[in-house]
Amino acid sequence: MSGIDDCLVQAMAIHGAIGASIIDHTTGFAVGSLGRAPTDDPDATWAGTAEIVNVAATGAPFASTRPGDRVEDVIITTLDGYHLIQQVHTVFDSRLVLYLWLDRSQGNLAMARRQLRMIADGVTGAPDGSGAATGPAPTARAGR
Amino acid sequence: MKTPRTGRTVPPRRTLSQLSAAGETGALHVEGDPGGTVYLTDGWISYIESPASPGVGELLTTSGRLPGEVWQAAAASGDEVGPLLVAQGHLTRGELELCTLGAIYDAAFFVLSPAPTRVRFEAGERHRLGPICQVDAAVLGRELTRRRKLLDDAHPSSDVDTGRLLAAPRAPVPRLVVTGPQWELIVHCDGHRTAADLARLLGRAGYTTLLELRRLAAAGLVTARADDPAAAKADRPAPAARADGPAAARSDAPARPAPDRSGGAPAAQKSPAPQRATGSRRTAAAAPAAGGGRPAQSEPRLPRRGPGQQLSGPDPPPAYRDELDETLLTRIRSGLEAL
Repeated sequence: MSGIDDCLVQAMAIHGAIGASIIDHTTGFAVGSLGRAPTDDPDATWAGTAEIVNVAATGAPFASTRPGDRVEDVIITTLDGYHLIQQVHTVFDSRLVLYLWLDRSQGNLAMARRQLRMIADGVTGAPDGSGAATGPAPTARAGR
Repeated sequence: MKTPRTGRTVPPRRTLSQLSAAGETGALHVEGDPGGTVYLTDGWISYIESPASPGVGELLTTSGRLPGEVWQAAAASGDEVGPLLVAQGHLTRGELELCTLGAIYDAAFFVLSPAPTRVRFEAGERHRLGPICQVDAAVLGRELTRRRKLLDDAHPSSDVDTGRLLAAPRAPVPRLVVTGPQWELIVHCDGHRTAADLARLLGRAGYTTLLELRRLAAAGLVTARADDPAAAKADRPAPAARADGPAAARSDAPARPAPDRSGGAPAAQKSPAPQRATGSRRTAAAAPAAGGGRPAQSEPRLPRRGPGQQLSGPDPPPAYRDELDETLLTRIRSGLEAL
């Protein structure tokens, strides 16, 4: 229900969040970004995120165990922080991920992962990517 | 309304940065192949469109996100199509923003190519999509330079960018791993379509299509046809006028098969692999061509035929024509949707 900026604001509101971006993982370009990036080098962070997503999605058969399977998120844990990368699923063609950098001492990985999933789904409205059918219908029902 | 920037040949990116710095509002029309239009609002880029990449409407309708009627109704009803769709609950704000940003960067890659070309600025002209997002011209310029480098890193030759594409008739290695998007591309490389055709047909971004095709070319799975690039260019605006090359050979095949074979051979040779998917449809259309074509065709074709492909000789022409019809219909549909 929200735009790109709202989505990033919500991501930064997650407890322990240090930085958040929406990144096109074909090119490593950020369509939106808020907060800090590791070593204060956003370009390297976005390029690295794109590379990791592509390796996870295509470089290894992780997401090929059954038809319809796909990479949902990639989590990197370091001694100092958590780096969460969630796919943003859109019905139309786009290759976007939501990246969140969390402070390890303050952040709660499981909670943050759930919240980030909800934010990513909120941007595109429909959790299953079935927005074409559900878009207008619930509004009509809610009005009655 | 017209500014004096008419007729001069300049790099479009330079003109764009001047207009952007001056805080102009209007449309910068860029000529050339493929060309396109950049829309500015107070110096910010608000939308870019190009024939080489699908626009917001095509991305939303081809993917099935919006029914064609909804998009057309919105397009017909007002000047701010995007915000209208959000207000009516057809799209979320996030989807509209992400789709529009993607379309802007995608089209920019084709419109703002480094080659000098003719440009024309119409002050005050706005795009009907309405105000959705603002892109800085300098940021865009840097991103385009990076994207160009990514393409060349994937595969240095730009043959597949504009040429008509063929899937390799035989796999270059015994075991292949392709991604889903790559598979879609390979299946639709029929010797006729260009990268731009594939992007529009599949509703995929033009740039990512190029990138995947370069990777496939590097892997030896897709090649650009060596014949005249002019024919490929002529194809795009007028698909019905494909009287040259293999299309002509195909339609003439039943009448005088022998002299045409040299021209039609490359296409016919490649067809069997990708056409397997449309096997059921080609049977009906195969009848007329088979009668006239088979006896004369078999002789020179024999040396090229693989062990399991005896029946492929007369089949490719009709199957190929089915594909052509499908392409034509898809284009007509996208043309109508764009109105």
